[in-house]
Amino acid sequence: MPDTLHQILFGFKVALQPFNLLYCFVGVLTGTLVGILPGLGVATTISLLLPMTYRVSPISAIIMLAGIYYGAQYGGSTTSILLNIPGESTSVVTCIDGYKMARNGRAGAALGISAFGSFIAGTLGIIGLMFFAPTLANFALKFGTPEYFSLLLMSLSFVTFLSEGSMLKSLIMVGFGLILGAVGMDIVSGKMRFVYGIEALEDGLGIVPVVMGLFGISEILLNIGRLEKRDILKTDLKNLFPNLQDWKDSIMPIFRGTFLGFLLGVLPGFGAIIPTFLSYGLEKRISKHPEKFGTGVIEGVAAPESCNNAASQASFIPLLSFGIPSNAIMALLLGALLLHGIQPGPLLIRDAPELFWGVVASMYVGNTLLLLLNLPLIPLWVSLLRVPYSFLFTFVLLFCAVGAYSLNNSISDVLVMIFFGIIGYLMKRLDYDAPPFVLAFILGPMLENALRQSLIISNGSFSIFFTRPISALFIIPALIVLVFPILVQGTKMITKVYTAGS
Amino acid sequence: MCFGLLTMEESYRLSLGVFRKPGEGFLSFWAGAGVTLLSVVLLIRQYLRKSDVSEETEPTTSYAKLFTVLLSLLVYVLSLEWVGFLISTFLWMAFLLRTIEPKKWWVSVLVSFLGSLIGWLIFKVWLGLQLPKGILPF
Repeated sequence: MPDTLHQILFGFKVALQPFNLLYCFVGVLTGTLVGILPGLGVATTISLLLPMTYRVSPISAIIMLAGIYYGAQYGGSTTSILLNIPGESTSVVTCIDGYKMARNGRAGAALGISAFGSFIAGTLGIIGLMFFAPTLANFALKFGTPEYFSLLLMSLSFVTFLSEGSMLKSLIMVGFGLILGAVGMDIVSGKMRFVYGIEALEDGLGIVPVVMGLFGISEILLNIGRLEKRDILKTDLKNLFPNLQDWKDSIMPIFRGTFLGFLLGVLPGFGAIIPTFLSYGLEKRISKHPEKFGTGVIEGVAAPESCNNAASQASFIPLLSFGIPSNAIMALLLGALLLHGIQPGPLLIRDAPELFWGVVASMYVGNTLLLLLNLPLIPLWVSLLRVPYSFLFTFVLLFCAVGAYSLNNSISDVLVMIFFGIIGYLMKRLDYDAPPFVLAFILGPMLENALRQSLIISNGSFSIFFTRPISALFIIPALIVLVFPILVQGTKMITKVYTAGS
Repeated sequence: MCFGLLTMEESYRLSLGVFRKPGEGFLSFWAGAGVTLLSVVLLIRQYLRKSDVSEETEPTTSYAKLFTVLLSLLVYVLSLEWVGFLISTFLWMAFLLRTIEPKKWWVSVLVSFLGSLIGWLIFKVWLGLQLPKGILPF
């Protein structure tokens, strides 16, 4: 405990340096904006800013990008409550009771408890991150290549299983990502793979143009031409501080939401969306007046908003402890670290303590800034909603174009971005999820390396993944999650055929 | 499915190796095989469901606008070197604002001017990126 306190004080020393403080502010402000403005997602924004992070230190870069992620959780609730449109997917559930509260003249209380709940959950989540991440990192020091392969496989399988769309399509996306991740030079043999004589592909497909295309360009292509008439609820935004009764009704939902969000946010694939639905469901189930849910009860706002913040903090744990991202956003942050030549994993905390503790301390600072930003500036955020998308998209396109071009001052990166922009657009139109692809694309080289080394060690035997206890702990759930849906579908089909036959 | 088959073919050519020493094409071959198999299953399912489920109508999309955006993006990047960042950005943004969701000409000019200036301040001044000057001295 004293060691952790000493470390966090060291972290504050890093986080409170002027440049890092500035980037933290920029990150949380951008995150709030991203959360408020529908049509501009966290993944899009982070992918747009990835090239910019080249110019700053890795600590500042991660502080800013992390700030965007958890900042968006705060911002997303504003549009859910005032517009009945979730600014972020993690604020979908907040629409149910949040908008109703606003229509009942209690927008201020809804916005207030959302901000305070997010702050409490964020703070508790950071405390959890502070203690769990180093513990898990120590545990991960026992990992060999079989354990890493099994853990990576488990991450991919959980993300696939829990993705919004069809699992079949998600598996195809994983395959697609693994193949494209292999483009370029094989690090073991030095041979070129899937290059076809194109010089630009010899270094592989860059993470930055791929994600900028997949998230940034595709989002613009999807939104162009769609007319959005936003009816902003005209209501007095007074009494932003919840009263005593509001606190009495909300405090336990806040704690429950925090606990649930933290627990599930650590696990790969859950992200912050699923926990919010579960949190709302839990509060409704245990409430003394479940029939009131949906009519504008404060618990229906407090719980999911706390949950999404805690989950977003917890999702940093696998990335910082194991070096394995638990969702697409963390995969982008992994990309940012790799761009700076930093390999996250169990040795990160030991070898780069200023990065880990600096980022953790910056989250305390960021959460405080968010509380100060969100409440007094709500009228300003609301006015931003009146900015037509037709102005917004030109700036986003500019960021994409300059961002991609500036990587190597080369048109080939822009061409890659445009290509993946078209792919991303088609994926969205045909209901193929991006996260499984992104995770597989980024993790693919690591997965392949771990697999090949493990098979060399075991002399070609796959039993190595099952005979080593930690590896078995990860690979068995991964296989269950992959095989179980196939068995269920197969049984249904057989039953259907049998019933039809008789 | 075609992509999966092509991947398998190329991976086989690279070398699959043996289990005790997997080659460069090992993982990509099996990934390609997986993609091929799953694509076939998806095709069969789509075919069987087609007769049962009525398809929802998609909202109409202007493909001309999509094509315009992508083409203009390409032209913009190609023109950056010889025209320069400020002028090409201004012209490009003005073009987009007048063609995609048409705005009044003075609004387009004003926003494009501000946009190119803000872009220059962010990319050149703050981030220190080397942006092409083109015909302008800065």
